[in-house]
Amino acid sequence: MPPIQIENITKQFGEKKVLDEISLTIKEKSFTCILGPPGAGKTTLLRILAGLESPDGGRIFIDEKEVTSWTPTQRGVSFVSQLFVLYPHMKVYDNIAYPLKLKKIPKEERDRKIKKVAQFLKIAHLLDRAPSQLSGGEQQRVAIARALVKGAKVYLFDEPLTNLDYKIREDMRAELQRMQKRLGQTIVYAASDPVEVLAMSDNVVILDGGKVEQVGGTREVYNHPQTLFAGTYFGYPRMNTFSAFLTRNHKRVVLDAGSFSVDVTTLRERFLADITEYIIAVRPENILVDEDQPSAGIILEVRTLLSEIIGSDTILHLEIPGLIEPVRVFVPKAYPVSPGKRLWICFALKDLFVFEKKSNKLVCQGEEVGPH
Amino acid sequence: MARIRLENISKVFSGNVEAVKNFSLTIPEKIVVSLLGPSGCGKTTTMRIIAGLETPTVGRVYFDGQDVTDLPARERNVAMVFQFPAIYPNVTVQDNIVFPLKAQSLSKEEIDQRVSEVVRTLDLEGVLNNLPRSLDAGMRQKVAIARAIVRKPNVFLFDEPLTNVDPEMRVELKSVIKRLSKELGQTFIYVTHDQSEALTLADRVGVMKDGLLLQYDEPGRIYDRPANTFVGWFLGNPGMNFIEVELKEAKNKFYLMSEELCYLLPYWAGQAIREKVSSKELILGIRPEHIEISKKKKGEAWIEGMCALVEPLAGRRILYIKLQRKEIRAKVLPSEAVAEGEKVWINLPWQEVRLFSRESQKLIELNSGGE
Repeated sequence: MPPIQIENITKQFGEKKVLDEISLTIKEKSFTCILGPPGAGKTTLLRILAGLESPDGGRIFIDEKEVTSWTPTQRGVSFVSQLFVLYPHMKVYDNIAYPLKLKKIPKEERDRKIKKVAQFLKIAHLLDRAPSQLSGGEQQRVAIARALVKGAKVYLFDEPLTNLDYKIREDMRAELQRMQKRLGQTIVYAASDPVEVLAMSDNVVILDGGKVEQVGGTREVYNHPQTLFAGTYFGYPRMNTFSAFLTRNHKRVVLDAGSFSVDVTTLRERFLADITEYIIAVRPENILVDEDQPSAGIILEVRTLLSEIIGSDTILHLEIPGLIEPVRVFVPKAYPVSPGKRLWICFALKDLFVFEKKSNKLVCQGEEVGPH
Repeated sequence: MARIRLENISKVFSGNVEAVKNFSLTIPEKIVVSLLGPSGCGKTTTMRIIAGLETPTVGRVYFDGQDVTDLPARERNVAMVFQFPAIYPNVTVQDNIVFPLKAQSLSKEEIDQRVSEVVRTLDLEGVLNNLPRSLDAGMRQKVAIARAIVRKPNVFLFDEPLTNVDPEMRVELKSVIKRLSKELGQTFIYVTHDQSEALTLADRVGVMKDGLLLQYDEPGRIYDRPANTFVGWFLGNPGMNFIEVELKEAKNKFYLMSEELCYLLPYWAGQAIREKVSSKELILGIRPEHIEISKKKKGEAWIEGMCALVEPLAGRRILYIKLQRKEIRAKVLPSEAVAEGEKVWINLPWQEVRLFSRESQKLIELNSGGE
């Protein structure tokens, strides 16, 4: 199954440029997430892929055929939106059967397909019910079943889990991933929750303001964000950032963040002479917290603002004297701490990212900066 | 300050919908109680009964021993903060905060003093002259909280106040609510479907489902010793794993048997279970983060499985491990993770295992005497 190719797609609604020269290749049989904040253009891009919206410029290829002017049906793609619609007067079984009836699939084959997909999505016991008798999660599973049963090559999901309770979301994440692995379709999935993207996808496209910020393998993008936006938006809790100034003296080149500094002399050629403002960033899971002063790495004394317990884990929100923005630390255990308590945090040079403040581009990271 | 007591409360809405079923609850003064449960569990109805916005069909409500069941909301001196902030959009933040005091006959000095205190506490100096509609949802909610505390009520009621607030502001509001609950020394009742809000903010959590109070305890205990399988599943991300097992006795030893495992129990525990439960049909529960995993069989008790799926989150990995028939979830550190398709051995440490009756789904309390 050849991939999807998107070439220079632009779309404007009134004055607003929603998509600005988007070019992308979606690999075959991959699970690709399009991640971005509300208004990034995710839904518009999916609707253009589905043929529900036509672009102002650019071309779409599916299976190496140009489909830009094809109707949704001709494209053979399946679209599941956030606001799924089931036919209220039809039982679950008939809702799922509907697209097969339209395609005039014989009754027996229809029945076999419906039962298979229902079993897979754990709704086999609900086939006789009316949609109104189902919970939100069950209804969404029926909507996905109806999309799946068509046997399309490409599935487009527009934030299908957003309106669901988080307990159901947890289960659905794994179910969608398994479904894709077992059936081997190409899935393009719009998401605004970085946790969903980390949990499910092979590839990620980070979209902001109608422009592609970064594309790549999910772990690759997570481990090597090329822009500050890609780093901060793709991660939960959000990456910590510190403003830093570049100083040069006695042949040493140092980034001074106020409460700590980083020697970047060995990478001096990456820092342009006339640019002095940088952002040093570190992910919350790469910071250690301690009640006694640690001995290695960058060490800072902090005051606890809030210890946010999320079941098995804790997100600590900490205040560094002189800094407005709190620091977030992910602690993989339940760790209740009273507000106001003094603690120490430390992080290693190898876990740092340095971005240029003005351009937001990555200058250097991790192992380049310091020892392992 | 008020000690609140709900006695055998039931609420039936028209159409015979029983929202709250024979519900009793005591809320000591000066603590934060969270009512936690999925939508439709009756938590909001319970709160509205406490506020006086709803009359119970059966049962009584007491504030400090006084029966307030028939007292209207305005005479109970409670303040509520809702999901959608109840503020006036067309008057300034300052006037919004002053307004609740106008109905009380207070001197101008008293009003000024209270308002400036609240403004300082909530850090609202910068927006006093703004209109609420120029503020984001989080700031509007802060103004609603200011309006609530300026009246100095006996009880604060919060109904899902963070649902419509963006994540950054949510953290700030959680901090504010946590701090206020300590500083004001008042009773806070906080209704939510979000376990992390309940675990973070509350001194006591009441878990509700289908109009029933399933468990009422300290957050740590709710998480650690869930009263039944629903509470075990509802809390945790993901929730507790459950395996149906049977108690077997052989050669003076007790085992929990299923297709997947043959789990040797401490002798005292086997005896205690035999005494406490008539049926041998049990459920073994264990939280994903308590499952130990290894690429080698480390001991007799270790069970073989296969890693079917991995969810790589930021500081954790969730592994879906296929046993004989059943699949369980383990939550491990990134350094401990195995790859999809790899063979893996798991261990269920006894001190983390919880046992439930299969018939009642309730926790079997065992004294940890022999641990």
